[in-house]
Amino acid sequence: MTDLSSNNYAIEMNNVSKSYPLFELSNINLKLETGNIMGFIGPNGAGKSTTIRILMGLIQQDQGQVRVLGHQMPDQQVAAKWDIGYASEDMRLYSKATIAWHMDYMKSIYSSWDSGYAKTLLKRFDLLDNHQIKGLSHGQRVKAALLLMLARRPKLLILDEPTTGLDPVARHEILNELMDVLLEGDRSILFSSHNTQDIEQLSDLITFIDKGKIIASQDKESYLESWRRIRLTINDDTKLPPLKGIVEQRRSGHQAIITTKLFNDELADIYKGCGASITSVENMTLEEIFVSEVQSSRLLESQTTGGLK
Amino acid sequence: MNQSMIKTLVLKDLYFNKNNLLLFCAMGLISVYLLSFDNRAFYIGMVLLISMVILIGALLIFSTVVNERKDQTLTFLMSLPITCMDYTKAKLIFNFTAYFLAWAILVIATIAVIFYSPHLSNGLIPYALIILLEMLVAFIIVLSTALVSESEAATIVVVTIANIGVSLFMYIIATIGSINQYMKGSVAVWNKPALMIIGIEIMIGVLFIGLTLYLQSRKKDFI
Repeated sequence: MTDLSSNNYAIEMNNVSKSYPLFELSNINLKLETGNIMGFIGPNGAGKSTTIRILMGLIQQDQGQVRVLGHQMPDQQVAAKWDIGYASEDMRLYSKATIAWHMDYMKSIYSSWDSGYAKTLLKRFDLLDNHQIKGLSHGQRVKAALLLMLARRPKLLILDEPTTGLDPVARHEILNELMDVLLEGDRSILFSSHNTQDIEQLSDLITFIDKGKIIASQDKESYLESWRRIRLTINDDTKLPPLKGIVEQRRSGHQAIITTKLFNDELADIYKGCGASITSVENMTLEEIFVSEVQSSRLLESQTTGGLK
Repeated sequence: MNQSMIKTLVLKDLYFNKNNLLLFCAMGLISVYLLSFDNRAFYIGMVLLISMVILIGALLIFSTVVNERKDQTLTFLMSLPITCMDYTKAKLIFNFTAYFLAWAILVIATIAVIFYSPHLSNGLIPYALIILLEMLVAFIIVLSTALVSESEAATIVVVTIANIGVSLFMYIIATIGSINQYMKGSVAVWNKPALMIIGIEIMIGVLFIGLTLYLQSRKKDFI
């Protein structure tokens, strides 16, 4: 078997595919370096949860190789899971049991369980250990699940939309806690969400997925830097050249709006050379980039499919 | 084998089911006590005993397998360092052991009641054991269905068929001449047909456990 591993990577997925009757995850390549936080963004049904379940060994890929913390998945999932903290939007704790029972249960399994840290988290999350899970709000249940995950100090956190359905205060508290966790050593996090605000606040790396394909994967800073919205004033006869990286080009009278994913200073000169004048060059939010990236990917796909037909 | 984690999973199921198990065992023993009377109480005890054995089985399977998937606590469980096979083995071990213990207590009590009650002939013992063994095998089939199908609907259908099957099975066995002719006798007769039926029941039970392990080991998607 080919050795994919390099100890620098917490997660490595190489050419991973998985087919279902109505959905296909195709040719996924993903790498997360140790100590980094990757925001994994995609619309509903894009393949985020399927990818994450493959990483957890809960689903076996049809093709490709997956390594998590140096362990081949799904064959070595037990060894990998000792050091993975996993929480997902659809994860529930035992409703008849108390938080204390869950804490004792985790303590009985993980030698790395940190009782002191668990107590600190209880206070920070405003939870009482004698509370039954069934009496907790959704936000409190999410916090309890995160507490159980964090207090055993895993090397890798895999979070599948953990903040979905939370009120802004609870979301803020959880994101802050995750930020603190990352400050403690070489912990890595894969954080999936369709909430770009959460991802923007937390991540070093951004990966977009749509319709089962990775459409972008890059470090956050350079990624945000490469996207710009350029507003131009043009004449009726101004012809705008089809430049590489242009995702969208809209004209309305003497105004044109260009969205580019490969922004550089030379672009302004090129447009000036065509007779256009630059009105403004605007930064884009991650949400705007996400929407543009998905739309352009879908347009490209439909053109390719149309071309093939 | 991931023995320590399997043990942890088994103990967790015991924790959540111990009260119900004790309650059903107590109810089962009351029904066995009713069997010792020579009147209407005997029939009430008979119905209650069969109901308790069926209910214990259904309760265990729904509580530990079906509801765990439905309530999404399975996701929490599968985040622990276990595989699908560890989960399957833990469920088989806990459910089979818990049901077998409850079942065995009721079997012993039933046989004792038949043995010591003057109005019940000892010839009933092989018949009673065949019927109670059928219930054990039906439990294994329902458990296998719940684990392999991962479907609440499929499990309910099999539970229903298994329950209806008990009365039908009781009738069919009672009409077998070589069983029926000794039922009212004063001695329990372990003839070839009776032993053959018991042997087939045990084989079916073992076959379904093996089949469950095989099918689970071939699963590519667990959640």
